Amino acid sequence: MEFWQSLIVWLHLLLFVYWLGGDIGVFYTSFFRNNPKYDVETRTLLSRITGDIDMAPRTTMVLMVPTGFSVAAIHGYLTISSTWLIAFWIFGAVWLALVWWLHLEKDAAKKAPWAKFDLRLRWVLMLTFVGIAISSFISNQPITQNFVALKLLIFAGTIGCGIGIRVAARPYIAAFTEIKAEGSTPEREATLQASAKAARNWVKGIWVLVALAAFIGTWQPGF
Amino acid sequence: MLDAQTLWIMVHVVLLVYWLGADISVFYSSFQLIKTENSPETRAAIAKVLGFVNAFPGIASILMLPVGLMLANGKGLSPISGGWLAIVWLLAGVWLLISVSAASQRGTPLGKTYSNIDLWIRIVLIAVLTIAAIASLGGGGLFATNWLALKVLLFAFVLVCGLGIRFTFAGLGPAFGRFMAEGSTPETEAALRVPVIRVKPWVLALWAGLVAMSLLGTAQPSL
Repeated sequence: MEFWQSLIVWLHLLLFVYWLGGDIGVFYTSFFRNNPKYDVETRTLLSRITGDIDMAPRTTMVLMVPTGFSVAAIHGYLTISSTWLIAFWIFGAVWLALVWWLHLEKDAAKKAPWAKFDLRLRWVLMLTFVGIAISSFISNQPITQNFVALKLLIFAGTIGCGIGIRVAARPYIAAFTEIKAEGSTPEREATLQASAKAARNWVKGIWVLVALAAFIGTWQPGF
Repeated sequence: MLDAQTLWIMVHVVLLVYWLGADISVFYSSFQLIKTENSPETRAAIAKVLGFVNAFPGIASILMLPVGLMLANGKGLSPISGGWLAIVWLLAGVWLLISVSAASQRGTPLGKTYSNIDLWIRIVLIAVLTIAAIASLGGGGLFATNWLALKVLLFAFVLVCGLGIRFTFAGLGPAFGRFMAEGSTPETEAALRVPVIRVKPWVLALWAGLVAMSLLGTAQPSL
């Protein structure tokens, strides 16, 4: 491998490090945010902090798309032209800008249509990647190695889990907004806990999938 | 086929996840600790998060050395093998126990003893690793390639940064205790700010060391 190729592989590895490693802080902080023993102001602040730390895994997930395809191309496992790779990098940069704008923009009304767009984009990406993976399993196009196609399928799974988190967290957000506006009640806390628990299961799903993808990437089995 | 070397590489990378990846939450949380707009209750919760997440880098960093030496031996780059590797693992296990005990018994005389032993282990290790690495770079040492010798040297550097963090952060616990007892005053806030600000260069240097090590390990350049 040329040194610049090693740089891409290394970047891919660092993204894995910050995805899985960053999530520890998010996961643990969320328990304090969900705890009714703390006052609402504290929980609101903890919620903001959790959201900030969460930008590490969110950023890495987006950048996995261009780096992942680039690593596959470096190893000669892709049959598509390098123009596509440039397109993946541009796409990654634009999507990343959107993800960060959604985090930094405070005006909820202004954000709402773009958050919806982001969610739809995730659906499209997931289905596209599943399609590419299946096509590659059957016809070795555009990915020539099954283990790489499997990694893409697993990555599609992580996007699916991310969608799962967003759907599972909807009652949470509603309950938390009510708690902030009108105070804590046992019903609101119960809704919040149930929703948070459901979202956590999706998070654990991401961890398992991301670790599995890393393992397959390290192993590189031929099958 | 899946060989042992592949599994150890995976373990090596996962250790980096829980070291470098987890550290970002520790770093970010420490800044939330000194933000005056965060209430004492919020900051107490953040302190708990910090303490919990900080355990991951502590454990991962100790396990990194024996795992790294196993990989080096597996690649035929280090003469430390068989019984010698078993001794390395045994020593690492003892070190881990001492380090974990120092953290869990913090504030007691026994905790202080463990902490001092841990400190001396690190000082000896820094000296031994530096000598071994420089001897190898000169052509007469343990490690067969320069990139590996450089990784060992960087590991010693990272241990030095760790000690820098330990000494600058030593004042944080008492300062935080005072802040919680006396509330937010210019004095307590200032005392809290000093360790958090001073630790920053050590942390950034440590990260740079780890990131450089991961690049060396990925690219394995002939230096």
